[in-house]
Amino acid sequence: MGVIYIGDRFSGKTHLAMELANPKCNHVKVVSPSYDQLKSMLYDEENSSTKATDAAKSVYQRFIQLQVTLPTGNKQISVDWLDTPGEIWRASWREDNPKEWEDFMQNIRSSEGVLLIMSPYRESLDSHPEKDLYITQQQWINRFNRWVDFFRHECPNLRHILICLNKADLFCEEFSREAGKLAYKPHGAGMNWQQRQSYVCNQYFRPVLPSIEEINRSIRGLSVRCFITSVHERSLLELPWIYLATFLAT
Amino acid sequence: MFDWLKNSPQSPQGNNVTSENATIRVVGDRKSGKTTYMAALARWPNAGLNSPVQSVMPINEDGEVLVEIAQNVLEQGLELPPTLISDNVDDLKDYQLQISLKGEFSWRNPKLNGNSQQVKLNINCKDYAGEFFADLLNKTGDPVLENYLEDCLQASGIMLLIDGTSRNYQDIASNIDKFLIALDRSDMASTKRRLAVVITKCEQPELWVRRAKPRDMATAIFPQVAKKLHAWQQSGAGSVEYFSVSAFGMLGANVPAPNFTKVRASRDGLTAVIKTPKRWRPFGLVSPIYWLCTGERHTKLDGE
Amino acid sequence: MKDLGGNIGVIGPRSSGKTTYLAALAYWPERKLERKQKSAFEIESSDELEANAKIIEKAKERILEGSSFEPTTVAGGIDDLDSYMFTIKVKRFLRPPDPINLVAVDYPGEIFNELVNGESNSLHEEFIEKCLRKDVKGLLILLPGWERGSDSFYEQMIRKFLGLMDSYGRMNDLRLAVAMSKCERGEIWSGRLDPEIDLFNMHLRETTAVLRKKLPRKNLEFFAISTFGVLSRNNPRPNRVDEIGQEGVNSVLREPNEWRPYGMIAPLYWLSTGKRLSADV
Repeated sequence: MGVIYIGDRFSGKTHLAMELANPKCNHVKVVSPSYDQLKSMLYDEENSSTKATDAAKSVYQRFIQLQVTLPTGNKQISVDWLDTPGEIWRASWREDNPKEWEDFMQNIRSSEGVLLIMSPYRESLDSHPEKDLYITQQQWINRFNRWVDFFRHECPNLRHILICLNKADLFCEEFSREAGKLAYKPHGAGMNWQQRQSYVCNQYFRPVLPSIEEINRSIRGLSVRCFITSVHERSLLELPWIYLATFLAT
Repeated sequence: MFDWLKNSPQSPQGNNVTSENATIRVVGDRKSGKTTYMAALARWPNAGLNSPVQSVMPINEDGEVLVEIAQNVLEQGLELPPTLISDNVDDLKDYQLQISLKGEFSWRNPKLNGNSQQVKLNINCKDYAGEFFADLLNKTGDPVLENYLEDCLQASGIMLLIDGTSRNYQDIASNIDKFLIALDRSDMASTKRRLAVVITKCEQPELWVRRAKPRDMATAIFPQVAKKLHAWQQSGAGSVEYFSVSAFGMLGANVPAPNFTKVRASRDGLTAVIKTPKRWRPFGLVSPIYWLCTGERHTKLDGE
Repeated sequence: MKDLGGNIGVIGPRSSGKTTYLAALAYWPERKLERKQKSAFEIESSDELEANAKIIEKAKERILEGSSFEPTTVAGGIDDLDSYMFTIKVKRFLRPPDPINLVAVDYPGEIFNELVNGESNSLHEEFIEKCLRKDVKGLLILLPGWERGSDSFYEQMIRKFLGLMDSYGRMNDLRLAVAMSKCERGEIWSGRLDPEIDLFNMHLRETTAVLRKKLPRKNLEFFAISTFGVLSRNNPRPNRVDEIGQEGVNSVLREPNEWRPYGMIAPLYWLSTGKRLSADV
């Protein structure tokens, strides 16, 4: 049973994964590697930022072991973390790196669940000083469609696609309130999953809502679910993993 | 290993415990609610004190998976993903459950001295993915299909689930036809079977008001299905009984409302999740099983 | 489990008052309605059913406070149709009430208007199929018009509808409660006590004749309904204000504190049980 953690290089997924390993956790715990190990792998102390993934090296692969606490007990999830360069979509890159491509595809094909991390689009970042560094809405839509099409065609065993719109603190109005609204409260105090899905989709995934609805409706056994994540809010960070763990066999 | 499943001698209180066993196959169209039904049964949430059912317990690991599904998925307000078809019927999960019914229950052996019979229903149950019903049956001669049919013939009882909210009247009727024909054709022994026709999603208002008469309800909504089943019964192949069930149940006893939140609705039927998991109380689930095990219909179980 | 209730459909041309009627029923238990005498009936509706909750909200906003209901549309198909649940409890002497559980579906008026035009499309057919399915016990047909022209219009509509009933094999087993809605209007208020004679036979003669001819007597009854009611016994002016809104005339309650609907339950009771009640309820 494979779960893939994937996303474009500047989506912030490294930081997200590192934050997941923070020992102060609620329902989701990273069992291995440890926080310190991850930090040494990924964090550049000198520059106080995540290490830049080597552009020359093609596909990074790491393994993470998670433990999620569900109502019936703990579930372990083994995750394949695949860090891909943007160029992977280009035919030329694939020609130049046949082995890497083949390895990548091997991993992908057997997966049942995918966590796709995406960064926000420019138009959603109202007053951010560096908004020009972010892709436009149209580019974002294209990228979304490309990823989803890819998964649909290359991953026959895929059951769950979880799209995580990262850096929510940048595009959410009243971020803490949103996080509070969406947080997981197992004894029924907060939103239920359907409400969450509906809310997040309508609020933040509007440009691609028709595509999501179409996939959910038409492909039996495959569901696309939407989340917003941020390193600044544990409750949001854990949500996609809790959802995924629910459906994975032990 | 399961000695205690066999008839046990008189217990100190002077009660007799009867065990009834059945091997059941659950079939039905996609999204007709087969796995949800099984999970709700295994979980048996919020049972009322007046329920004739004492308990429902999973006996094997597969059975325990059902309880997990109920707690992790249904109770969290999530949709169950579809059960996927397997090429090998032996790979299918075989759920073993034990349903204990309280004493003073069975009419079979009324004791004049007031001693009551406790009844235990032991079931082995396989849940056939919807594709079996809708697609595989079309592939006559396919070894996978033959595999399934052979497995199905070993069952002493068949539970046919029909989604009460579906409007695929024609398709359902023709699929049932194919199923019965295929079964018949493969059956060398011509065993008489019990076929429990279970109408699911009866918490929906239009079904709920008619739940007291499931045969009439099924005949009104699915007349072709009823006709085919009647013909099957007339041919001597077996007996048919109708049941109305709801894996989600209702909220409130005085002025009831269905415990569901709609996700989507189409010709194929209604997809929903439980609205208030804390008050989750299915109804009618045990009744078809009791009939499949004993050949008797018990009205007290119908409402439960 | 006594099988007293059942599925009923509420049908009728556009603006006949179907949604307003159902909203008032759903809202009934929440609002204390002034009645002349103690009522022999209770209506209960659970707001835990989403459809009920929705329409109760609308009832508060629209009937009591302002705008009227938007027309019910066919756009979403029958999957978007709302089913409302009501429980009618008949009070009895020394015995607990027998609950009558009803499920009412509100059909878009457009379906019936189009019947007259002879148009039908597959979307409309789905609605017709649903409302004439064998599990439906009866239909409440609301007809609001009594003026000149209404009779011939309704007569055509009813004829077509009866034809459909026949093709679905429901001529002998479907009850039809035919009601004159909005009967608080001055000209017809006095006819409410004997609707068959004073309203239908008088103002909608041809329509009434067709119904009587084609349906078994036991499956046909005539009623008068007023969702808004009149101000009081001594002041039988309609408790209603008609405002010109964006889509024609909107009706709202004139005096919300004097809200006394008339004849709301009688047709439902008859559809469920086959028995007639005294007029006022």
